[in-house]
Amino acid sequence: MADLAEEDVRENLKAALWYAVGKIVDDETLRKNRNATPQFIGALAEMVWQQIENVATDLETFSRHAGRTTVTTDDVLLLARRNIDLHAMIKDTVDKQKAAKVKGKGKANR
Amino acid sequence: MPPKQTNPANRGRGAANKPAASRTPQSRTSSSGGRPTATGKNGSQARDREIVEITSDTVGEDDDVEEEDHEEEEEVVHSDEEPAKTIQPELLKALLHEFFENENTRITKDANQAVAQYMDVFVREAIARSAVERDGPFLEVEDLEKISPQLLLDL
Repeated sequence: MADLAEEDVRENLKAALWYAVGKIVDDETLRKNRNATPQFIGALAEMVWQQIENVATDLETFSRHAGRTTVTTDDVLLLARRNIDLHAMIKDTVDKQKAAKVKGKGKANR
Repeated sequence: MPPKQTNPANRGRGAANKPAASRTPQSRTSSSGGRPTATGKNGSQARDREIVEITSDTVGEDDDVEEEDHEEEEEVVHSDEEPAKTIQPELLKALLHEFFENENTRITKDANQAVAQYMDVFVREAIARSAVERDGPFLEVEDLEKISPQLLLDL
């Protein structure tokens, strides 16, 4: 029974991911004046699913290697270590998040 | 049904633009132009009357402006949802936890957001590369098959 429930959860997650990917595809193809077949969206969703699985195990391993059980932004940056541009992009948002946090704390202290 | 809804709105705007013009000829022109498939004369007349009543409720320019404001408000709500065009962080969190081998593994909010950005780049990169591969309008699975090996190495 528990297995069945787990299967259901995966099924729902996959459907949700499919929907999310479909939206991004619509957004992008509209901008490029293109279109995508439903099969394309399905295949891409499947690919993203696999990639998230890889990412999840990587992140878990990275955090474990650092002696943590919580995945932090450092682990995500390590994930993007091979692509300098992507690394820079993510570092940028992470830094912005940190800056926003410091600002928020400063306001709270006042 | 939808055309019926849009017609009064158009008429309302038209009336607002030309307040001097009488309503009846306007409704006639739009009923002949916009809805040529209208059923018998009686039916279209009745509908026109209906529409005139509706427009008379919303003729004033102020009313029109208000309507547009409402539309803008809705749009603002939509743009609030615009980040939903990426993979929602909540969904991603659920997915990550699904794949974590250890149940005790947690992820910070910032890290989750960073992963969301990572996956967003992944998806958009896949689409962009497929689009380069394909000359025609429709992106096909084979385009994805061509670009996926390099994409997976690059990200």
